[in-house]
Amino acid sequence: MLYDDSFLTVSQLNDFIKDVLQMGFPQRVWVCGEIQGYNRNKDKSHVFFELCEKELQSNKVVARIGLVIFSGRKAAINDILDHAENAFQLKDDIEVKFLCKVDFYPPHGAVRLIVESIDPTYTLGKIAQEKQRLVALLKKKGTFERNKALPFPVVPLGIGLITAFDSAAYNDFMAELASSGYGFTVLCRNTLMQGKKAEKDVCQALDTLQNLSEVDLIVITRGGGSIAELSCFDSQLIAEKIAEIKVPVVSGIGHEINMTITDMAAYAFQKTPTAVARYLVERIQDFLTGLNRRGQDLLGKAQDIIKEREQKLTQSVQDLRQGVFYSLTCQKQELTRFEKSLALFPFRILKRSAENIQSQQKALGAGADAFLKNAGARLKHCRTIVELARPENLFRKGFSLTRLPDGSVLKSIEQLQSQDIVRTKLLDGCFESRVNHIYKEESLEGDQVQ
Amino acid sequence: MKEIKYSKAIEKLDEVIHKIEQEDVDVDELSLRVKEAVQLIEMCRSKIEKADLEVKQIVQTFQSQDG
Repeated sequence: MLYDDSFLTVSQLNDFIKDVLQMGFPQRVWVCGEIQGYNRNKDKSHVFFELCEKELQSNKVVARIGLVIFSGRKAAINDILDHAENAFQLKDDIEVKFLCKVDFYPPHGAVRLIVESIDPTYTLGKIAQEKQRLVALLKKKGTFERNKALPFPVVPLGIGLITAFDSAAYNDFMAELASSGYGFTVLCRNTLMQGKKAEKDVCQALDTLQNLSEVDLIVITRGGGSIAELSCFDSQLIAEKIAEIKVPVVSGIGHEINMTITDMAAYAFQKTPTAVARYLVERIQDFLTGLNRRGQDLLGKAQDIIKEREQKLTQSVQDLRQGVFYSLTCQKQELTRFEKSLALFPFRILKRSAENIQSQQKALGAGADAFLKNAGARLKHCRTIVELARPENLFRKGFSLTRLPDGSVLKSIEQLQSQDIVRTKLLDGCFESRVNHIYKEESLEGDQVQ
Repeated sequence: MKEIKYSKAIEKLDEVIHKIEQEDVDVDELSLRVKEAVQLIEMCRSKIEKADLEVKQIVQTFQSQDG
């Protein structure tokens, strides 16, 4: 190389750069980065695209480099990808690890990496790592539990379907529902189910469907795919939207070992669209079975109650009969007692009255006798007194009656005057006498009153 | 005698019998009271017999329906 010539042609420079680079990178190197600009060139024979490195926090591109997969290597690389445990395809936005030859292309004056091979485990690991981080974050926030906490519709017949219209998933799902014979109503929101835009479209679809009154629950489903294809469902946005809406979500994306974050956030998940449909059919069947069982339980209980009431009624009838007859018997006994009283007491009253009268009579008789006896004695006494008072009897005993000349009976010496002529009557005759002396006291011998 | 309720009749009867038992009845009224009591007893007895018969018939009807 001659520096003395003071200048180089561009081609000389580029060739020189190429030589230097080749000396600097004598062997192939493993390069990691995020694919960009691949999708729009993938169908060309040589695929030119870029790898870039982004800052972790800001997501800003801090370095990029051009790559090329020559047509001759395409088959080999696809073969490696196809045989990987979880097959995926090259596309934009995924992290890859390529085995590259660092090359300088003099006609363009550009450094480029010629892709020779790929390590799929790196991509898968990156996806898994990212997913783990997201799962941990969402678990911490409780995002996965919120849709599960919603009440599941008793009869989930109104279904909001998020899938690509008329896709295999759509047709499988609809066919399974139709075969059940139940009257499902499906409102399908045609939605992007892969790629970069799927995330936002699914979120919009969730918003649209949850506001429809016919929708009891929302189904998100698609056919299986590679981890890379399904990676749009490992989405924080979708998970948070599912946590936010008020309708249960049942998902059917991919298969069980590759459960997506969407599956985790949903109320329930199934492996395939058919399995989701079967799950819903089973809910209806469970409801009907439950209804039937409850109907039978109800019938059984009703019969028990009726039987119990019948027994009680029969018992009541017996009680009533006994009660009535007992009551009537008591009443009869009381009447009999009254009759006995009637047979006895009036006569007792009469007898007592008669006895009273008799005793009154007796008392009356005795009283009259005593009275009469008493009256007789008194009468006799009176007669004696009367007899004694008779004048004849008095005259006979020696009493006499003296009258004054005027005929009045002499009762006191005060009436007398000396020399009065008085007439004295005795039992058998009378005599006249003259008053010689008057005495104050009975003293015939002396004490003359003057 | 005027038709009266059993409870009234038995009440009246009780009163009359009580007076008679207590010998609290004027002899002038005695036969009248006894007559009244007998009539009440007859009335009550016929009421009881009627009720007895009716209850038997009702229970029989009920049991034949039940059977």
